[in-house]
Formats: sequence, C-alpha cells, structure tokens
Amino acid sequence: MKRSKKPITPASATGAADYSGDEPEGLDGHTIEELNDYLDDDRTPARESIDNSPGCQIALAALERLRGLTLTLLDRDVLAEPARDDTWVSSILENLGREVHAGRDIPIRHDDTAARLTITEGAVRGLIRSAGDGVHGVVMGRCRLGGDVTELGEPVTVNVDAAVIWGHPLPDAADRVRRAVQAELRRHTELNLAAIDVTIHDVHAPRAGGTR
Amino acid sequence: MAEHPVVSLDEAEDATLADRAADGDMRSFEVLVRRYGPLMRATATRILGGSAESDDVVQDAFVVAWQQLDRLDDGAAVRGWIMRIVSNKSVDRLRARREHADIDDHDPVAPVEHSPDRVAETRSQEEALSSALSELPEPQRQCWVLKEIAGYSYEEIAEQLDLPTSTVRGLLARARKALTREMEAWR
Amino acid sequence: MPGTDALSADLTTLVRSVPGVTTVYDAGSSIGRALGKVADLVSGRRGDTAPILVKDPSAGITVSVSIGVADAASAAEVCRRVHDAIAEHLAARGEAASEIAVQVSSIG
Repeated sequence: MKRSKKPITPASATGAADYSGDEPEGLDGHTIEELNDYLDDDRTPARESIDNSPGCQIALAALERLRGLTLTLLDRDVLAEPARDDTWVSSILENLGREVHAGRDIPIRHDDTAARLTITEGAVRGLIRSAGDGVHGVVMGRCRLGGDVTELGEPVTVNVDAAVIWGHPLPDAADRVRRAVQAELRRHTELNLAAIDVTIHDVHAPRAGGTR
Repeated sequence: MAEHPVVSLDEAEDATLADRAADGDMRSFEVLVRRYGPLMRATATRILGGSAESDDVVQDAFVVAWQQLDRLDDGAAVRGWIMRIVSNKSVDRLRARREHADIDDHDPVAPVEHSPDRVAETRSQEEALSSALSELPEPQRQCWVLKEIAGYSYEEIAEQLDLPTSTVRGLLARARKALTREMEAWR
Repeated sequence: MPGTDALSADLTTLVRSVPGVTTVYDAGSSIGRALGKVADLVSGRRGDTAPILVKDPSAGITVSVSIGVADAASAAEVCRRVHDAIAEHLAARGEAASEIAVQVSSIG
C-alpha cells in the first residue's frame, strides 16, 4: 500500500517544519534523526548549522516536547489503571515454586537408621532473618551458610548483612543480632556454629511517616 | 517469635527486599510484586500494544524473577532488572504472534488522516501521544516503545525483533517523524 | 495404590496433630525438589495431591513428608517427634518402614 502525501497541517502553514514528505523540509538539509541525536548529545558540541536554522529550532522544540511526554508516559499509564483487588498479587505468589530457594538439606540426628531427618537451608535462612529482624532497628538482608551443612557435625559459618536505622549505635546492633541468631540456631538446629559474622551494610533513615 | 521490625518491609529499600527474596523470603518478594507490578503491567501493555496478555506476561516475569533473583549481583538494580524481564517476555509474545500471522512487517499501514475537528476531540497532549502511538504501523510502534519506553539499544531491538540494525534505525526515524507531526498538529 | 493412599491419608492426619506442626506440605513438590506449587493442606488447597509420599516397593515402605513448624517449638525436636509418630503408627499395624524422611521447610 502506497503512502500518500499528507495535507499541509496548520503548523506547517505558518512556515514551521513540514513533516509531510519522507524527510521534513525546512530543516536546512538536516534530518529529524540528526536532530534527535543532537538532543541525545545535549547539543554538545554545538553545531552552528543546526543552532542557526529556525526550522531546526522549531523541530528540536517539537522533539523535546515529545521527549517530555514520553518520559512520563508509563507513570501516567499506572495512574490511569483501574483499581484492582488483591487477587492479582495472590495468584502471582501461588505460582512461585517454594522449593526454588530451599537450598541444601541440613541433617538432624536420630538413632533410628531408617530415619532421614532434615531442615532446609531456606528454612534456616528464614530463621536467621526473623531473629535479626527482632532486634530493634534492624532489617536483615542477605544470609549465607558457609561450610558443608549437609554433614552432621561439620563446622558452619553464618554470614549476614543487616541494615540499621540511623540513630542506633552500630556495634551494639551487630552484637544483638549475633546473639539473637545464635540463640535461634541453637534452639532449632544442630548446626555446629563456628562463627556468626554480622556486617552492617547500610544505615538509612526511617521513611517519612514514622515507624510502626 | 520475633517482634515486627521497626522498619516495615513495605518501606524497605529495593536492595534489601531483593536480597531477602533471593534467600527465599516470600514476604519481601510480595512487597516487590506490589511495588513494581503495576509498572510492569503498564510496560507490557505498551510493548504488546494492548492489555489482553499483560497479566500473563507479568506473571511469567515474576516467576522468572523469583527463580533467578539469587543471580542478581546488585540488589539495588532490581527494578531495571525486573523491567527488562517483563519487556523480554512481552517481546516473546510479539514474536509468537508474528509466527502465527502472515504479515509482511515491512509494509507500512497508512495512518488515519487527522482533521482539525479531530484535534478538538483530544483532551490532552498525553492522550494525543497515546493515540498517535496506537496509530503507528506495528513495526514502527514496536521499535519506538522498545527504545523510548523499555530502554533497549538499537542492537538489542534488532536482536529481539530479528531485524537488521539499519532497519531498526529507519523504523525509529519514521516513528519519530510521525509522532512529532501528530503531536505538533495537536498543539 | 489404594493401600498406600489410605495410609498416606492416615499419616497426614497423624502428622498434623503432632505438637509444633503448623503445615503439611505436598511431598511431591518438596522432597522431590520439583518446581511445584505449595499444597498447604492446613488451608485446604489442592486436596487432590498426595501430602505424604508413601511408596511400597518390595524393599519396604518408604515415607516422605515435608512440614512447617511453629516457632515456639524446636524444629529439630518436632522433626523427631513426627518421625517417631509415623514409626509408631506403622509398628501398631505390624509394619516397619525402610525409610522415613521428614523435612522441615519452614519455621515460624
């Protein structure tokens, strides 16, 4: 299907750039693509032939308007979405495989030789997170179990990251986290804990609106 | 057990949530779902040119994100990372459509003529852009959305749409011209 | 197999009643490490899947179960209790298992 030449729009009737052909006229030999690249480069280095061309300046202004609208397009889309209930969230969560982050199987002792008792590494990480979260002002981050956790009695190192709210003394927070994690691991598991390393990796202010 | 953290997970930073979710914390992942789900749906809708398959695509993207989060080195980059996943999934759908249809993508469809009366109907510049986008020939629209909305490079677009890079440049230039023309007519 | 289905159902009821057990997960998706969906039988979803995997090969019965435990109890203790409850149940029927696998997948 052939593209027909478009009628002159009101804007071009006033002498502004005419977009009706394959390449707009009135750009003094430049192309829209060139002008767009010029904007990408923040008009640096300056190009006299563009800067001195009224047609180009008009086209540049038009391209900038388009950019401005484009930048906020998605945000406006989000605002325009109709309100939904929560089922879309639960249907997403239900589809996630719980075993994806189960990790290694950590053994638990039993005299019976037919017994194969384990706790998943994922469950232990959850334990560690909860323990640390319980310390006032702390939000736990990443958690790693080092060593061969699949062998009973093998020494294990726990490595955790934690974020602390500004205002709480840092050394104190790290100690509290260490003690809380140790207590929980001793209660629930039979891991041979060689060390618990707590890294405070971030200190951030509570968001406006206060704390719970 | 533990008291609730003083900082609510709802207010936690992306990096913290990503790190916790990578370790299997589904509560943290849920916060990410709520935080970025709507933006992901909007992105999918823009790429697909409609919302019919957006929910499916977003769900697929979240499943992948859950599986691969532990491979994300910098938790703070999770937003861009997850947007790229949903964008790729959306393009997968576009490709699937192409395989089922029998369209020669390089045939431009003539856009609808715009009269001054039409101008009066449009309520805002923003709607004018949406409208102009929907009237672009599909190949131009796809290239433009992937570049300007999803942030793909020319090469990435070429790879995703299985086109030569020069074709992508040409389609983008035409899209830009068409959009600028339409937007100026609505000023 | 009808025999193992009934046994599986009995064991599920039994395990759910063990102090400290909050959830009995779908064994097929956790012990087997397949990427499956959670069968939370406490909440009643997916009642058609086998919660406790019971196999009866010629070598003997094997039982596999995946549980969630309450934070208040010791996970290791609850795990042992569940094993013992299953072993006692089988013994009362004059049977023994060649393997009883109990996995704790969540705590608290």
